[in-house]
Amino acid sequence: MDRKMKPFLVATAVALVLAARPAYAYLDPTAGSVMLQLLLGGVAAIAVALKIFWHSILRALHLRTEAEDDER
Amino acid sequence: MTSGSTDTRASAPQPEGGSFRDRTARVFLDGGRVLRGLGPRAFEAWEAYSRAEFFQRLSASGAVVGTRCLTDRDRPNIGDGCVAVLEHDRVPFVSYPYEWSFSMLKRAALLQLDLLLAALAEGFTLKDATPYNFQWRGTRVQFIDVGSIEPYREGEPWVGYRQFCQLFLYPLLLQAARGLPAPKLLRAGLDGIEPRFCRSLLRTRDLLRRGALTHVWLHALAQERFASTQESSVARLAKGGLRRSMVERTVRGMRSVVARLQPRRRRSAWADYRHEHSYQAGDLEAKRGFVERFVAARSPGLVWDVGANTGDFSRIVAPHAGYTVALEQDEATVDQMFTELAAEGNERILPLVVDITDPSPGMGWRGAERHTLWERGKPDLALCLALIHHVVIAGNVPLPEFIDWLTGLGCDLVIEFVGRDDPMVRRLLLNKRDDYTDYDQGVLEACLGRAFAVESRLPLASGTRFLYGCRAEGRG
Repeated sequence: MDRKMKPFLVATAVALVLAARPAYAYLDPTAGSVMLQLLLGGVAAIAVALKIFWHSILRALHLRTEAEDDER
Repeated sequence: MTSGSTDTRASAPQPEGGSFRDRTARVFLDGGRVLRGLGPRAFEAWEAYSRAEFFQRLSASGAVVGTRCLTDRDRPNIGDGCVAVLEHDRVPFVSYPYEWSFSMLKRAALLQLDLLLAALAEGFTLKDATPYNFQWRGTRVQFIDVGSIEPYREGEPWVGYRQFCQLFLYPLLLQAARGLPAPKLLRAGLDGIEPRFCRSLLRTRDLLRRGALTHVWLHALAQERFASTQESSVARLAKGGLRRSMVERTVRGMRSVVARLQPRRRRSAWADYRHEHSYQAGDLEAKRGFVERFVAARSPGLVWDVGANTGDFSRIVAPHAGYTVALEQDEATVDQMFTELAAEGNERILPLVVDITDPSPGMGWRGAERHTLWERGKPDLALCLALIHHVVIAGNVPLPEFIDWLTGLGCDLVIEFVGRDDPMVRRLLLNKRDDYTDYDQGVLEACLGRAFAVESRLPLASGTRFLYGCRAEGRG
């Protein structure tokens, strides 16, 4: 693991801990395994993670719709 | 895919019990042939990767099983929906990851990653990452599931990541960190170890090991966090701009983690057995000569060396046999045997972790996805040297039942009886009530006499050990 990636890793780990939710039925174990790869693919993948996270915030605040995301 | 079992009685191609998961490239057994029926999409993929440089290079080196596309004239009918049929080279004896030692599983893991990296470099990927896609030719590992190679679509993550963790990384990591034998962990379930269970088995300080924090702890956390998500994660990553170079970086990182793993071991009494046995001078030489003469006179196709220890007798018989499977219950001893044989490039002896008093059962869907040990090929000859006292006294299997099981294999037999005066037997009985009235040379000879023709007999000079060379009824 690159030294420059460690702060990203720690920050994401903290975010995951804070965001961990109880599990429900019809769970998909592959989703987490796929999303984790944003941490493993280097700095460029972290940038993709931040982009996805930022789009999620915009959608949560109703500043952008999923269709608008798809068009970009 | 798994390669074929050795049942050659089937008259029409039969679906292989372990290959149903891949509906587009199912494996069929046709007598002694291993066939794979391809649907339209799988055939399109084959047309592409069979011309790729990486596939041709790895096939030529033997890292990928030899595969041919049959012409219409040679092509058996294996059902609707197949537009093409591939034929694979047969594997001498099918084995499963829960029968492999640490070094064997690690070697398969590294080949899986190297194959994926080679494929990615040329625009392909592998949709699986399971050790069940590998088989052995002696100590040479081979990838057999060519149907899992497909074109890489930009934006796609490493789809086999979770499977690789559960079936390769976690068993290796748990053996390296905690000394838990990987074969026992893998026999608990065909899907391997889930991240949350691996996390529970590791200590806090184990998270300092390279890869443990990300691939175990964060992996378990991410699964909990995203388990109920309503959106396709794969689509989110593709939309976000995930690129092939990022996937390659992930795979290279995993390779670096796996390459550093070493098994944590306590000293194994079995691995030192060749130096600590109770043979008197000359007895071992006499035993070697007896075994070699008996086997050489028969030239058997398949030999099982049951209780092989470090494989000394497997080596003696291997030049006279088609293929030798060395079965030993102690993982550390098998790992030592594998390491020594692999250093020689031996392709005629397959070492496996098998306790003959608790052999591999049928597992998975219908109990037929993974086959029992004997369904994968009964031996023509079995060696049971310095074994019977462990089976009867340590394993509590009645001696007549053990001989009955051997009789059922229908093979010739070399068996050694170790008398009650032998130091090894005395050691086994040290803290046990001796109810083993069946553990008797007379009982053994009576059992052998009923089921076999005892062709040769050799008492060793120690006076406590006896060798029998037996021909199975119906064998010439």
